[in-house]
Amino acid sequence: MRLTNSQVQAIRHAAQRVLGDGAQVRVFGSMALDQRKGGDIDLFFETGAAFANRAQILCQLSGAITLALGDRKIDIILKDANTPPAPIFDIAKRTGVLL
Amino acid sequence: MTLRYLPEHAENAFLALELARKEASHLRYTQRTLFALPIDADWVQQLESHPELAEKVEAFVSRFGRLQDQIGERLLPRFAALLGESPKSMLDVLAYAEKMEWVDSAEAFIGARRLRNLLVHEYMTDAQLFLQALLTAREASEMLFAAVVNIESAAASLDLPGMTALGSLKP
Repeated sequence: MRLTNSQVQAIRHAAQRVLGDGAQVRVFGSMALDQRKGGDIDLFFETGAAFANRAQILCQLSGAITLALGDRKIDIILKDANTPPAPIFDIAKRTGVLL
Repeated sequence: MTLRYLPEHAENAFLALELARKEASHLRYTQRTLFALPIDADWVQQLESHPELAEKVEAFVSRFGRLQDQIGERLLPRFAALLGESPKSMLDVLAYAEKMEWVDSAEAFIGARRLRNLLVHEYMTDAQLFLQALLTAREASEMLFAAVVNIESAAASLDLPGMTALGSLKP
């Protein structure tokens, strides 16, 4: 996992602020692998809560994390209680590193 | 009379504003006509079999994205330059725009860029999420219109040449 401590803190802080307590965040994709270089930051947010507007929550997370980490390529996926299952969530959960 | 801006940046700033106003008025038209339709999850599901509606959604998303880029990449940086500021990155530009009250929230402005890839209907796997993104983009359009109106007021208060030729954008 190639995120710095301060990046991890910033991501956790954004998760807490936007999703409340009890959300889990994982980094997956190339940033989860120590031996790679560069690459996008792929983040998977998971919560048991249900949000009326997930698109709005995704925008809030994306805005908060971009301001905290700088304008680099950040890709965010979100699974709340209303989200239908999709293979990407399984992959992110299986291969991701919990922050 | 002393100018309160750097005149060498006036033309570029004015041109960016003029284009932003045009794009805003086109987006306003599509926003109004699209959301006059009875949009719900069923409507979104039917996009695949109604190419004329899918095209309308695409016009909305593409006009939304163009105005977002025009404001973030040209309008705000050029007005910052006009006032003698030279923010280096997009985030610096937005922080300055927030300080000047040209945008309400840099975070909301940057976050709304996420809507564009949520709104590619060919990739839609979750109709609810697509619907929510569409409704969120409708609100985010108002944020973009407000930024153009705020810059318009800034330009008027600076007596930027050419401003009197333009009417007000306010609906």
